[in-house]
Amino acid sequence: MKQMIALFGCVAVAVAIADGALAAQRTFVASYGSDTHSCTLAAPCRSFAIAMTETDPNGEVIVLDSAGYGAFTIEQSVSIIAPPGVYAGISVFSGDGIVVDGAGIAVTLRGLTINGQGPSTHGIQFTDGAQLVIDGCTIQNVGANGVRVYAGTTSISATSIIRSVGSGVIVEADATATIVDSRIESNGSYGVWLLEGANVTIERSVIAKNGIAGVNIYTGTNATMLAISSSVVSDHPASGVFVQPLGMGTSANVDVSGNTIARNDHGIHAGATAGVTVRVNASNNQISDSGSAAISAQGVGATIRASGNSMFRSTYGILAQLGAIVYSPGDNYVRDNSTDDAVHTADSLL
Amino acid sequence: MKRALATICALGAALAAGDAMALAQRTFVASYGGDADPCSVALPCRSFGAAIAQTADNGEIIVIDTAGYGTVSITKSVSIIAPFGIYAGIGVGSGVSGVTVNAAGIRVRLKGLTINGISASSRHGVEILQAASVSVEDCAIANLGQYAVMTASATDVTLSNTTMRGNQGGGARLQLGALTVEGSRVIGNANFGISMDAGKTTVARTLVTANAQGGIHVSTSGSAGTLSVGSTSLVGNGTAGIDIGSSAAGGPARVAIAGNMIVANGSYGVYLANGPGGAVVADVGSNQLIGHSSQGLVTAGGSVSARVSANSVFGNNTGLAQSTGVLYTLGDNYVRDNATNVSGSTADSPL
Repeated sequence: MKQMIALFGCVAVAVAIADGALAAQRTFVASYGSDTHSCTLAAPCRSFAIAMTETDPNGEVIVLDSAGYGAFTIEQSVSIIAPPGVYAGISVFSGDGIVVDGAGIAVTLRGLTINGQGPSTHGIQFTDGAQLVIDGCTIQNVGANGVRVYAGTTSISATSIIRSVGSGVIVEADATATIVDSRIESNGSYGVWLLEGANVTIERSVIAKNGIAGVNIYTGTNATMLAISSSVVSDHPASGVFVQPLGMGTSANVDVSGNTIARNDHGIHAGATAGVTVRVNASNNQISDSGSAAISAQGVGATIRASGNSMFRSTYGILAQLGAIVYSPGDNYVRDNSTDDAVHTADSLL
Repeated sequence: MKRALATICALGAALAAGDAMALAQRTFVASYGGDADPCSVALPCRSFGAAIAQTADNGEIIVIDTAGYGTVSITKSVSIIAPFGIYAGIGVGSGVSGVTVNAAGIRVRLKGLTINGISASSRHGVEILQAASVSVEDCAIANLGQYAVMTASATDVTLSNTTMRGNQGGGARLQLGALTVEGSRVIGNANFGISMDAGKTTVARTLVTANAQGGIHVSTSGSAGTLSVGSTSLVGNGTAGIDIGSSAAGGPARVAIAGNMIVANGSYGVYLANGPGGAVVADVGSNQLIGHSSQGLVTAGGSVSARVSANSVFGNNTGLAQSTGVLYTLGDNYVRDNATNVSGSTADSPL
């Protein structure tokens, strides 16, 4: 028996040593923690900012219980994890909630709630880095934009971005973003705003009741790209999907398929001018109750190819103006609009 | 009354005995546990490794609170369960895998675990060497030196609501057996997102993005492999969104690809080839194939046959391309705004 106890003692010591060595790869924060601690499980820290300084690259910061943990900046690869059932809040009184800014870094944010409490700017700002994952987060009430992506590849999943003063998500500077299973509602300007060659994919998401348009796309010198499918885009005073020209030689390629697009001014609008190329493919969407047109193209250089859509109860079904073209291969269901067809160009399938 | 009391006492004793046995079929770990403890709910253990030794076949290991619980080797049927609200971490160091599953015929379920590579020379997140079935649910597996989930045996593997991110070898790899990936995220792995050498793979409602070599890769060399991909986003992956048989030994394979968003992958949306291994037969329907610098879809092997219907194919260099093999188009694809819309296809007709 003594031998057994001695053995257990040795094991315990070994475990303790191993734990000590691993502490820096996994740190902890808690409501009862203190920033003078070393952020271990037994002695957690109180804030994300201090925990970051105690965490190895590619390490994890774990939230132990519900509390606020403060705004902070991330300059290394790390995962910040609040498990479901734990509220980890970041109140933003000024500046940004979370800034991700480090060349080549990969960052995961899971289960965080960012709440604007004043003239804050962005909820999450991705300034520099390779990869950002935002999963299961809520970003609300921030003074400018919910998420601003300026670099790398960003994946947003199961996240709510609501009531920002500006837009829900802004993607700039040729950055790439995917948004899946998320809710982007009641933001002041646009639900999602693509600038300057951004490449954005949206799937199974709700984009509704934003102040101007659902998804706003500016053409770019490098083509701005949007693909949106299996989503709901509804209740916008401007267009559900809104493409606007921004300077000579710019372009945008937009793919809109399998969505429900309801109660916007235009369901889908492609705007261009001479020297700008806007190409929109709209297939298998249900587009109804648009104040103006279900599908609208305006200006030389704007082309919409519409196939398999249903367009009901709008002022116009198809509206092509000022040299723009809306192609239809003859398989759209366009009825109960004040004017169904004004006017499409015939096309064919292969 | 006495008799009743006696009965109750006997029942109590029986329940107590039953409880003692029940401990073995359900064990517990906690941050405050000790590995010399019996792993009961009152006296939990500190590590998965100690708990599994005290868990009966077909039993469960339950995580009581947030902590790291160490790598574990599983050689019996067991469930390891971290309920929602609890972080259960496994930090994986050099030369080891996070969870190793290795006994013939066992059934294993992993729920709610976070497996994180802390050494560039760590092995896999979950390494399956032998088992009848393995289910990975609500897990996050990142930063491993090799694969997030490696299946090296004829095992039925399901990955559900799981994130596989930033692994150096790739996301999920199936060398044998059957793999289902559903409702999951496969992001930024250094090799392929999901790859298959043999067996059956199904991918549904999953985000596969920014994987350096490609999204989904199939390269069979022996018996036919099957791949089904539906309602999945394949965006911004390396060479191709879905690539069949591009390696020298590729084929045979049967492939169904339907209702997916396949957007802006390096060169190809869907690349269909075969090596000397055998024929590749593919059905490709109702997908969006958008923005690829070479082809939206290409048949590039002499023994490839693809039937293509109701897809939207836009903004590629070539939309639908038959290089070698046979490409049937049903006449209901919308193929426009590609530098070349269709090259070399064979028209087909509906019934």
